[in-house]
Amino acid sequence: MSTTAVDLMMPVRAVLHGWGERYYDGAHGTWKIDDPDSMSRFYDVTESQILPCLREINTFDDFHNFASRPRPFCPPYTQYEYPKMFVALARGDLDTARSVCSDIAQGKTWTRSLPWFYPLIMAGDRKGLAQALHDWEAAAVTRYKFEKLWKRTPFPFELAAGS
Amino acid sequence: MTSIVDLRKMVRPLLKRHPNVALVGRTIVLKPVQHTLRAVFIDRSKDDREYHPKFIVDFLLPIKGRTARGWSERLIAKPMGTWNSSAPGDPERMLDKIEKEALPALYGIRTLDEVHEYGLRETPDSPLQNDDYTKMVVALARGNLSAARDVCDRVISRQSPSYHFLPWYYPALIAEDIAMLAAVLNRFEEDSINHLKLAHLWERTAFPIETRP
Repeated sequence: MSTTAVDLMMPVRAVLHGWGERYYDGAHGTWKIDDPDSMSRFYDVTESQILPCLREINTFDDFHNFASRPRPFCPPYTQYEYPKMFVALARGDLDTARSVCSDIAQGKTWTRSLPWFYPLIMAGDRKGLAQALHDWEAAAVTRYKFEKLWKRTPFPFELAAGS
Repeated sequence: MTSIVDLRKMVRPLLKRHPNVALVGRTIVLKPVQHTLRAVFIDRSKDDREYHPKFIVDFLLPIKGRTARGWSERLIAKPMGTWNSSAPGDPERMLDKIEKEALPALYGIRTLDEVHEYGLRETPDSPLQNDDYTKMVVALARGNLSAARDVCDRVISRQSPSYHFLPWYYPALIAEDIAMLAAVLNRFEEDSINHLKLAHLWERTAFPIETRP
């Protein structure tokens, strides 16, 4: 089995490997590393289907469209409080982020914590939130050892504020 | 000797002499259980004939760093070695030690403040001193809202080395929503009581925040 994995750069893991589709070897179901024919099919599927799919997911809107779809064994990301809050904040949707926080604060969710920047969300402090989200992203990058691959870029709401 | 049946038989004289203690599984519990657990846990050993009685004082809260049973735990064994059921007189001597040492000490540790003081004294390098989440929950239970908020302030200003989130009830803490905070604490306590199977000994009582003027 092979899976496209699209995840958020958050130090809080909602699901183990992100969100995505599963790809199976047409002949065996699972891919066989010691079977040259199976590996050949794997490379073919990776190049013809998986990589093109991943290359199309660049923005938070793309992520939202991709990870919102219900899939077997992979609930939409919006069912998880922290990913939903993170994407909403990145897109400048404070109302959704506050609504998630409100559900947590009323004990309606499995999530039993609020982020340390909760007061910034409630105050609508966009400058503070930008710094907080960048710090969060950096913490995730360090945790997952992606330093060499990471390029720090502004969040959508920062670009919207600057335009 | 360490089967539950044998244990019940061994402890029966103690239970008869002390109506305010009960045996739950392998644990001799002081009753009623209110905000704290005071008990002697008779642990089993790799050797079937041996057993390890332990003095237990605990908060009924979801805090970190506890031992498997009990915040502060102390072995009350003979000066040498462990208690052994095959040694003549050992069970009687152990009961005598529980009656003369453990129970009187446990009677003196009843309130949340007393457990806190005991925990700090007996385990100086404990989460009570070095874990912010534990400090916050214990402060809240003891009715010290200001200390609980101080921990949250450290989290927000990213000065806390041990805790990086706010509790889900943070808005209630800031608003001093006593009803909500009391519900949170009661839920914590009820969860602990159910986990420890002590519901029949539990006497629900008000937390300090509910009774303060």
